[in-house]
Amino acid sequence: MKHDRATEEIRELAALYALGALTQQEARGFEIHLAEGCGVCRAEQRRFARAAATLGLAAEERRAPEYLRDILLERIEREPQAPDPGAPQSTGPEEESGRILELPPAEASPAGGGSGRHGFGRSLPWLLAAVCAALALGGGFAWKSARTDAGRLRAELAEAAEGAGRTGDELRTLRARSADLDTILEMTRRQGVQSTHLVGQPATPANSGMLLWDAGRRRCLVIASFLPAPRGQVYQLWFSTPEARVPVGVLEADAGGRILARLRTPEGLERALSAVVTLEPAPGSVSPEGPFCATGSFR
Amino acid sequence: MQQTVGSGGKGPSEGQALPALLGKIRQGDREAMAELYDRTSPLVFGLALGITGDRARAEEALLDIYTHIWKNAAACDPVVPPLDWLVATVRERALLGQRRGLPSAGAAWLRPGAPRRQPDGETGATAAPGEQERARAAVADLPDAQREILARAYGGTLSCDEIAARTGKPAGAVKTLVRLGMNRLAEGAEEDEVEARSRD
Ligand SMILES: [Zn+2]
Repeated sequence: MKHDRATEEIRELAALYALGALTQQEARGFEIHLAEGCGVCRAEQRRFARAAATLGLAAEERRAPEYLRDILLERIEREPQAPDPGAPQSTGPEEESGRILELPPAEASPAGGGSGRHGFGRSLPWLLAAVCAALALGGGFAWKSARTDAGRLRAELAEAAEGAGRTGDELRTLRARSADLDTILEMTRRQGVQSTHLVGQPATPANSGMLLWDAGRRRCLVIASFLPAPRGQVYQLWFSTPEARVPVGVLEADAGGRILARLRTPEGLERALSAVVTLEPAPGSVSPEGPFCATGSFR
Repeated sequence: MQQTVGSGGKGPSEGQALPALLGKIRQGDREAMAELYDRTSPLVFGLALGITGDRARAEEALLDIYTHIWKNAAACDPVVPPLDWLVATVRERALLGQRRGLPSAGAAWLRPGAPRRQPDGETGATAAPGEQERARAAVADLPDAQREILARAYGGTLSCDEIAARTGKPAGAVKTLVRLGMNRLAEGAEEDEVEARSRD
């Protein structure tokens, strides 16, 4: 049924829709009604999308840290634009180790049409962003970006430690990031370190991350963003060899599902073909029983 | 359209209009991308920080958003004004943490009595100073009860009934406050558009 004029009820519905404050069912109902071609409701939806934009435009501007600009610009230097999001990416032998993390083609969300639809399927943790930017560069240039970040962070940290105006949390965040980057840099400078992209499975598409493995020193590093594990369960990493799946360790995640784990790998993994992450009952299993949550293969 | 120039930086009158910038970005122009970033990142970062209340999450959101714009520029030809689209996208991305159960700041700048803070001295260029200033004035003009509810709705992921439960107001009252507040903002935006057109 199309409306012939805007009533209070229509305005309420359209305003709540623009704010994403309808239930999913209500939002879907309104969208179906719009799709049926009701011009009155379409006009109200547009008006309130503009009103919602006003709320956002009123936000205070804040200067973003300078290193984010560098990360972004370095990233787009190598990052191809997507003419067709469905087309497969070519991965030559050069690229294979470099292409570690790919953002999914996120659906553009129309202004105000927030209800029930999310523009981004997953969050990209800061650390992953920095590492990706660095890995995307490849060759001798590879770690310049990450090194620059590490330098900046150290400078920022020194400055923050002296001056006021930083909360304890901010200081802790800075320190932790600086240490994390140092760990990654140290690891990646070494020869013979293998890397693989941990890719989520159909049931867990939001999981993503990377794994660096120094087989010679039997150390591995996992940087990932996973959905938070259900209560009483843990993410466990395994290496698959032609003979068996060997437990490597449990991946501890923070409340947001972010993982930065340094693990020792067992002996006899020279022929490991792939890495697998499963969800196991805490504190972990001796052989994988739970569902696969992410996998990555070694060359 | 009369616009003030951001302190210490280029105003939009000196730079290119956002649609033109996006057009260049679609053609793979990296300098245009850098200009878009310089012009809009203070707004994007401020908005993401205002909603998440967490610098790390705001930084992630910022990188995600600009990477998304770059990679998907060809697909993004919004019929809505680019700035409106950007703001909606930032909000959507910033609310992701809340959907995962993380705490949030809940659009502090919209709450009644929120201080009208000047932009960082070093912020430089702003996205659209005139439009942003009008938006701040429009929000400041809203009655406190409407601001309170709009702050909760905009800065969070709650449905109308959930907002009612949190605030102890009847759901009908919440709906009315949303309608009145949003209608006032919509009317303000319409007046600005009419005024801008008459100047052209
Ligand atoms: Zn209708």
